[in-house]
Amino acid sequence: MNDLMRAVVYRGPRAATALELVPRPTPAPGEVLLRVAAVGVCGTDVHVWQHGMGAAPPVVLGHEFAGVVAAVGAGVTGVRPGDRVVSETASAVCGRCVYCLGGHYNVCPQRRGFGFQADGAMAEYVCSRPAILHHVPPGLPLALAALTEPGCVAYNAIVEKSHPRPGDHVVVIGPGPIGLMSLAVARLGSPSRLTLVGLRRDGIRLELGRLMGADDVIIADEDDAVARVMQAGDGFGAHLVIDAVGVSTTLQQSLAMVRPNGQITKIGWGPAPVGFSLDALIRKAATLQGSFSHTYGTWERVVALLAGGAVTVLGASPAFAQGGIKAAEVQAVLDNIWILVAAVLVFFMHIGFTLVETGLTRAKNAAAIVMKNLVTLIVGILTFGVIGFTLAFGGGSDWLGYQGWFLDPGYFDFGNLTIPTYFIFQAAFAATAATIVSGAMAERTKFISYMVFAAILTGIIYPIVAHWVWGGGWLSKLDTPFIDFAGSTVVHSTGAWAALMGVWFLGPRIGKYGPDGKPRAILGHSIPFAIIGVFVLFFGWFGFNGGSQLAADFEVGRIALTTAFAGVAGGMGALVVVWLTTGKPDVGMTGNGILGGLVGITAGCSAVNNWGAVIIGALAGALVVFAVLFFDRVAKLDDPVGAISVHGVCGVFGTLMVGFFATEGGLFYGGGVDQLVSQLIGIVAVLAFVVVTTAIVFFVIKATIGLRVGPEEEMEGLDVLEHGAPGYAGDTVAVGASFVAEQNKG
Amino acid sequence: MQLVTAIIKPFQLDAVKVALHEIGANGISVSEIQGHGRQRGHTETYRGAEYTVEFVPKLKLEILVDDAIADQVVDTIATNARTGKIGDGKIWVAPVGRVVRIRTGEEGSDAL
Repeated sequence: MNDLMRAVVYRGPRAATALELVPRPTPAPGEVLLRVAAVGVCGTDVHVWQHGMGAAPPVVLGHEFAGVVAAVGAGVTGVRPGDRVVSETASAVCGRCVYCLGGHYNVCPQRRGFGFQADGAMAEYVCSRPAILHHVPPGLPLALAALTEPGCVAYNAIVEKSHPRPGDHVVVIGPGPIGLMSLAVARLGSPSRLTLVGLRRDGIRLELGRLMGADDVIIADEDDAVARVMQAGDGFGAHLVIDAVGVSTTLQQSLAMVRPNGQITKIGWGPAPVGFSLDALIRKAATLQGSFSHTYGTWERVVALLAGGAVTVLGASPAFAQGGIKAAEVQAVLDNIWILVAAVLVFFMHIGFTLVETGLTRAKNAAAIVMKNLVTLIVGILTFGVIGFTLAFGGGSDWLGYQGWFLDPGYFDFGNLTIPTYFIFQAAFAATAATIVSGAMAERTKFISYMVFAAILTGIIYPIVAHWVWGGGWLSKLDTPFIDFAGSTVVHSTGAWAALMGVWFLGPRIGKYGPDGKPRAILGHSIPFAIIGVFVLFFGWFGFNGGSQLAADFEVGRIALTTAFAGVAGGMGALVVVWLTTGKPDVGMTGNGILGGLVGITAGCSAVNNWGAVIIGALAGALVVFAVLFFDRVAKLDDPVGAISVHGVCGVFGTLMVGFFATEGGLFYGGGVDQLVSQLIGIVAVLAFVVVTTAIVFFVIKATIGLRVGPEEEMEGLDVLEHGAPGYAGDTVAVGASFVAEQNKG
Repeated sequence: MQLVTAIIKPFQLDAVKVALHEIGANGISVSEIQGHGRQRGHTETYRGAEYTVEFVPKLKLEILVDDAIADQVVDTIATNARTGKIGDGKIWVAPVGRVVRIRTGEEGSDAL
């Protein structure tokens, strides 16, 4: 430890003031040692150097500062080394006088200020005391926190001493840091007009004044400031004048421009005598008051305003001067960008579904299956946009929304997220629920029938389920609300139960079951397609789960991690189980395992920890294998891609596991059974609703337009007979050959 | 003239082709086929369901040769396509009535 430190020491009026090596302070009992991170150079520091202002040399200057706690003296509580803090300016007060005891310690006669009677912060270290330290919230840079002091001067003058009302005309004279801060604080009181008075030589500060909220800027050495103020509004003058300069001329101007019964608050000070008549003060019955320093409550409020972005601090650097940086605005922009990126990732998952479904089915149906995925998006986005989004997220009852059709901006509020951002994200989800169905019903479903069904699912059935859980419906209002963070149940189970009904009404593909009832393998035509599809889905899932945070914050990374862990654990679970039960590490099944793990973690990705994610993923992956075998051999429901197992069984499993593994409220973490019961209620309710509604829809479709293609078409392949051309046309029999022959003849 | 037809394992093609060039058999047609011999395929699993692989991939070679070298061609294929394991394939020879080279109109041995 070095016992010396560098510091700026004041040694008397206009004496040489320089960086010196001085002993580093040690905190006495009840004191806190700060490592200074930022210190402001106040006009007062200059005034002290010029004419003393009551300072007691030798003393280290600097009273606007923020830093990190380096050490604490005996008996200090509430502050620990490493804390980021900003300090008030009263190094010591008596603590016994009528002002101290009344909470107005800023005017205690024995107040000792940093940089005046006590060593200040233009040094590497400074000692302060816990009673005047304020914690700096994360996200507020210490350099900005150091500006809390001038902010408090402005706040004390405008809020504590003056009492402007919304609609007042407020004039600030003097565009120094205190004047600019005063503008920002005055802006919060909704003045009808906010005027800044400065001089031509104030230069960039006048521009900063405009950016910090001034409606008009008067240059007093080129324009008649009093006349300009009197012309504005009703002609009686300003309700409140803040004099942040401190020469007698500005007080004289203040008296001239204040309206009868108005207020003048002086923050700027100087030694010059007034030198003019104060009769106007009496004639106008105006209030003239001084404002000095500030107290604890003011500091807390100003720190909060700076951290929340309500008060914008602009520096003279070009980047800051461009338009100011408001933390809340930056956050809103970040939220929208991330959710839009996440929405695009979820859109990308449709490529994954297309590849998985195409790969795991036969080449003769390749065009038909990609077409069904395509029409899912076409029909899904349109119906969800026009009808579904309102049913899901519009105002209404506990059961469905009915206010605000077709994205009517008057009816929706998603906080930081804009309606377009939110809609695109949700629309991609809706289409996901439908596309799950196309895989299970592959290789035998009529195109028009699927199209009608997809429209009803994304337009009506899925949105109602989404409303129950995400749109403020009844499942979100249970005493212990049902948790489905990103949609294990809402999206995946909904799609899977619809698929279950579809497969049940359809029956198996021709040749799937022999006369003995034993299932036969119908090989998918491209395992590489299927597995690339799994990769694409995994990729998109980071948006599916990470985007469901609906904000760009630190939680997103954690969600991405639980998602990744569960996905790979699911692959491992399926790999081990299929290897042990069938003797070979089946490729497609391992892919299904990854998807099962991902579906499983989707409900709890934000509620569980990494261990929970691995366990949920691995069990979901193992479960996929048994589920596929069960549906194939026992239930005899022919699901070529395993969609019901992956999305339905693992969706239920993952939703249920939240009740066990949620680190807050889960049974394994001492949370009791309340969460588990809510999860069961949600699972059963969604299952019952989707099974009943989709059964009705499929029944009607089957009875009217028919659900299944004819046997001849199914054997030939759906590509040519449904859509006119094969998914894979051989070159040798292509149209081009006969065209060339005809041309040669001619 | 004779048409030599051989069914071989796909990965034996290179050895057979090189050996045939060395003995002066110039033309060769190759097609990918599937089939089974006496063994009648074997059982595999897909997504947990068993299925029989009844037809395994093979190559079919067709070579038109003069009568004089027909036996030598058959022997060369047999030697170079042999692995000694099940599924090495078969070779058969059949007489050919007429051969025409399309570009020149040459017939018979000149067309080979």
